[in-house]
Amino acid sequence: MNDAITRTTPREPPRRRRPPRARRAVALAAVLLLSSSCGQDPASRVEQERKTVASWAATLHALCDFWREGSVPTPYARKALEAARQAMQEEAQTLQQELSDGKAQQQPGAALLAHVWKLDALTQTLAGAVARGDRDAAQQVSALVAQEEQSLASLSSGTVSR
Amino acid sequence: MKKLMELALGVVTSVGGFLEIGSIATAAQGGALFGYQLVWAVLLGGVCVIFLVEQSGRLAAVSGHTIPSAIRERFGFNYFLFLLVVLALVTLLVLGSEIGGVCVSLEMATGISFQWWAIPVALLMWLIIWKGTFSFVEYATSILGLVTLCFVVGAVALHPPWGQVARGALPGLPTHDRLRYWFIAVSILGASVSPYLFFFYSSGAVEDEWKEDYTGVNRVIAAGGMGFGTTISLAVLVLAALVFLPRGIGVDHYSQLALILRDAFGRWGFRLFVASLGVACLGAAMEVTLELAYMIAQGFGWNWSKNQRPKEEARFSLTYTVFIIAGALIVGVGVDPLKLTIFSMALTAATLPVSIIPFLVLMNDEEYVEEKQNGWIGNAAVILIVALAFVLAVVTIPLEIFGGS
Repeated sequence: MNDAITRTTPREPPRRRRPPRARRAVALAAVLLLSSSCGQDPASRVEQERKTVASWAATLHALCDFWREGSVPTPYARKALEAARQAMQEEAQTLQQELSDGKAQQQPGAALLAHVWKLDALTQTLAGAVARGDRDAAQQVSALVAQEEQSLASLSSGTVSR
Repeated sequence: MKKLMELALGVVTSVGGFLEIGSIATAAQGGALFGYQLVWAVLLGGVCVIFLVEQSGRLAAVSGHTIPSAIRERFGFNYFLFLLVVLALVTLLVLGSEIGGVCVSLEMATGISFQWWAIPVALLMWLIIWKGTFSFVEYATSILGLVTLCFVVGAVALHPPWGQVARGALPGLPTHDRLRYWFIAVSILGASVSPYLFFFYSSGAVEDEWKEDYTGVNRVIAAGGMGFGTTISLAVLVLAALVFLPRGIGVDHYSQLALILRDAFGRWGFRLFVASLGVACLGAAMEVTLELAYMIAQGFGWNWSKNQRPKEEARFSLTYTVFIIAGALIVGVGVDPLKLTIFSMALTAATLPVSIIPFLVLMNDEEYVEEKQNGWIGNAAVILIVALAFVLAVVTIPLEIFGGS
């Protein structure tokens, strides 16, 4: 019975070749995908890092103000500051690596790195203030972080913004 | 009167149980980075989940089958096994995210790192599931989950520009960070259209012994509950657009999320957020756990019911115990809960066709739903949204992992 079926089953028709236009479209899509995944230029890399650092600076600023006014409790502020410090240190490492590999633009990259170090130091100062319950010191840090935020905004190329 | 009570309770539990870590994190990221531009993704996910939940309730009411048992019967054991492996892996990551959400809320409240909460939270979940009936697990967590309505109150209190919100309902191209935009859109869709949600709903309908005359009740619960639930997700996105975007805070870490309700509620904002996150994630974690155990028990033909005692359904009880341990391990080893959430939601979107296509076949099969088959609108809406989510997921996930521009 099986043999009969095998014999009578018509042969599968040859697989249709894709028309050239469809193949070109697939190839174009693949090239676009690859280029978008690999083609980040040094300026875009710095801009991407700048956005992340600016986001953390804004978080730090909000944390300062909210903790001072008692909107967020001290245990939360402590943990959030730990996360901010870790993020700053990771950013610093990434930037240093990218600068030494030539993947990030030298001048704005180095300037951004300086801001990261400053913010890291401010985060440490704020963590100390939170641990001591010193709200006046937090106010001073808030003003300094606000300055950093402005400097970071001026670093932006202006072509990409949040 | 009894049906009216069930209807009200059904809508309330659907609203209270809708929000979970996935909806909160993805909507907040979307609002923080792109303002109201991703409103369409939340709405599209909401429409899709309304259809799917209604269909899964109808399948259960008419055929008396849950989705996994019907899939196994209709498509055979091999396909069921494939579905089980794919869904179990993805849903386990979702479970890890939900347990992570509870742990993060406890970290925010106490300052003790989230990893340390993994085992206590797992133990609490296990105790509630072990001791509680299905109704207790469903109703208690969902009614507590009504606290998440604070997001809606908060969003309205901050007077968002409704015109811009409405314009966001139409999909548009982003002005910056294109890859991130599409990846977050996929994650939002994955968070809304999680298979565990409508699989669990069909199991619940069978547990509650729904019959064919429940199709009307089911329709109202699906539309009302999921509709209001989607409104809560939308409120999270609106709040993020109002609170985070102007300050330039992108949600890169879960600790940043806790600031979302401060502008609306002042000192109470933090407490409300922590309570909402903890309760919503605890409820979702238990639902996900039960759904994993239901899926396996229903597919293999074991005894399964949360209304039976554990000794009468030992394999079912063992299964959810194992999944709770596995989910807690993911969190305990210190995987970042926010990254895990966003990734697992996108992965959910990528695997949607595996569960939804056979489900749609069932919903058009007279042998299962008799004359209550899907209409063309239900079929077309679900197919289009799932296809969109799948294509976007397949394109954006590799780029997000390997670092696109």
